[in-house]
Amino acid sequence: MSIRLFSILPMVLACTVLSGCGSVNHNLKLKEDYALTQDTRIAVGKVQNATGKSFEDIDPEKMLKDALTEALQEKDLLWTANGKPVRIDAVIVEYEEGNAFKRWLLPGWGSTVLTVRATLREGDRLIGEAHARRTVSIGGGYSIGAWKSIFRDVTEDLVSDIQKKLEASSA
Amino acid sequence: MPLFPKSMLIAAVSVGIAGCATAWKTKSTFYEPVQTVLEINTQPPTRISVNNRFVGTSPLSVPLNYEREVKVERRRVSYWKTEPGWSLFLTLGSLGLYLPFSFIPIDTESRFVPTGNFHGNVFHIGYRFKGELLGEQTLECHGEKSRKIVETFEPKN
Repeated sequence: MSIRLFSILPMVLACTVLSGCGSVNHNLKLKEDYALTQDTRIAVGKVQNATGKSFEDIDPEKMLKDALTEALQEKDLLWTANGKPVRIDAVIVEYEEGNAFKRWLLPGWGSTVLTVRATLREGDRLIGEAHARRTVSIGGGYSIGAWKSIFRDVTEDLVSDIQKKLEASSA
Repeated sequence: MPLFPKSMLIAAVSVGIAGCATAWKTKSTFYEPVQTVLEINTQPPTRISVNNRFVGTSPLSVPLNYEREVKVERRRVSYWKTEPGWSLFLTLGSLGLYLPFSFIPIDTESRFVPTGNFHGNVFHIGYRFKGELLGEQTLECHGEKSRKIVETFEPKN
């Protein structure tokens, strides 16, 4: 049994190292007295870089804004002058581009990390707060480009939380 | 004899989680929105303005928006601290080869600490009755969920 286990483990490990893995956590907290309605649509507001770093080759604010717009559009949640608008403002509080070679060499080293904090507003009223963090800390060749794809993944997490709240309120 | 005695594994995990971390360092600060709901009740009912903007007639509740400064702190930790499950899996999967490297603090951990500083948190409240200014007050908010104001005025005429 243990011999079989120890022959399988390195294979699983090899697959993991070749592909890419990391941690995912996200949540959305709406105010207790507020519920999203079926006609709620989300408008993308201000996106701010609060990492304390400036990036020469990339514009993380634009990347997040574009990814958020795309993710909302895919779920048909993007506000386009129809429905009740709720504005989402996001702050990038942590962004590490990472390095695929480093994390192939030693898991955890060269991790790609993106942490976003967001607020939802209806008019003047603050109606909710969201948080999403993803890391790509294990992986090799297939995790090249994680510095870019992590924006899509994090925004999909944010949007899926909004969609869940919408579904819960309509149920 | 098992490849990894249970006690050795527990000791390794404990050391990894407890130690192998650098000190917290402030990396940046940012302002996040905060809202305090102000409930105003006056006798007689008055027209309320906040920062010279008419918001309604009392009794009313009005959201006051301002910002709170938050400090981003970061430190380097071992992979045992951030991903204990993966660390264990990698240790077992690599037949122990990963174990000595796993204690190197290469991963990052973040925390967000409010500094206690606020921006735009001072509001000027004005009370008017039939066009006459009955009173004014300044309100400073510090992240409270709600504030209540109950006032009684004597109209001059």
